[in-house]
Amino acid sequence: MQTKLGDNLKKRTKPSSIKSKEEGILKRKKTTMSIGELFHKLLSYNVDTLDNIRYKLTIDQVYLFYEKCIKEDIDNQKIDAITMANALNYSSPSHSRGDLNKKTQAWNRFMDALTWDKIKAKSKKSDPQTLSNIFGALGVPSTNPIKKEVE
Amino acid sequence: MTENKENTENTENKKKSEEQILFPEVVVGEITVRPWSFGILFDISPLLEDVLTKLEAKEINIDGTFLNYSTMLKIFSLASSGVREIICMTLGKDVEVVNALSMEDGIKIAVIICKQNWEIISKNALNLLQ
Repeated sequence: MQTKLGDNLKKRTKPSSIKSKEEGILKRKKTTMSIGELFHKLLSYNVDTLDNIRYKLTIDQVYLFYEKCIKEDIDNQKIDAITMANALNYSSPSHSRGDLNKKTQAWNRFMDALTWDKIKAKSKKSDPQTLSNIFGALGVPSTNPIKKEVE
Repeated sequence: MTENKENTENTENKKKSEEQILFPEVVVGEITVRPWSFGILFDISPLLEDVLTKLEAKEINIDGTFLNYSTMLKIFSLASSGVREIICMTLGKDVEVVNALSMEDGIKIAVIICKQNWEIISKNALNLLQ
């Protein structure tokens, strides 16, 4: 006979949320991960010492850092793949000067995307004066209407 | 009945945020309560099993998200020594320190421990039943 506690807990942990076969496989994969694998991943990333991982980090924190390590692994693999594709494109033979220029531009854009200073400069917002100067240079009048009214 | 079902579904969908995971400490008086680590979980596992078996035998229905003082009092009366040891190990304090706590603080800490580690407690209880 099932107890109330049992019924309640079974309801909470019943895999009713499994909607597809893939989800089911993912869920099973998650549960088959051993604690050794968890700790090994954190140790290989120098998250902390074994004793601290065992006693200082909470279980949720261990899983959180494990996920971050896995995510970093995947991101690195993705970057490797993108780099390889870009390098292949850049080093492939060009049939015309225009083609070569395009490839060089694409490679430079790609390298800029990997350079912190360039990313920072790109994300920096221009101040109003700079914007006004740009519009001015293009021949678009850009005056402050409030200032004009006061005058 | 339907309300209970909704509550259960809500707690299932409720996922802890990164901030909640990285800063899980709750302070009661001068005592800081943190969720269990893997090391502590292995240490308290036999005690936890013992407490849960006792609760199951008495058919006490506990739900970590709606745990109140009266339920915790029932748990204390059934398995006080086990619960006290779990509290000591969780807090990393001696029995004397835990014994010196006021009734209110003691129950408050026990409720916090239960809520912080509900996911693990429920899994452990399920393993017991299987």
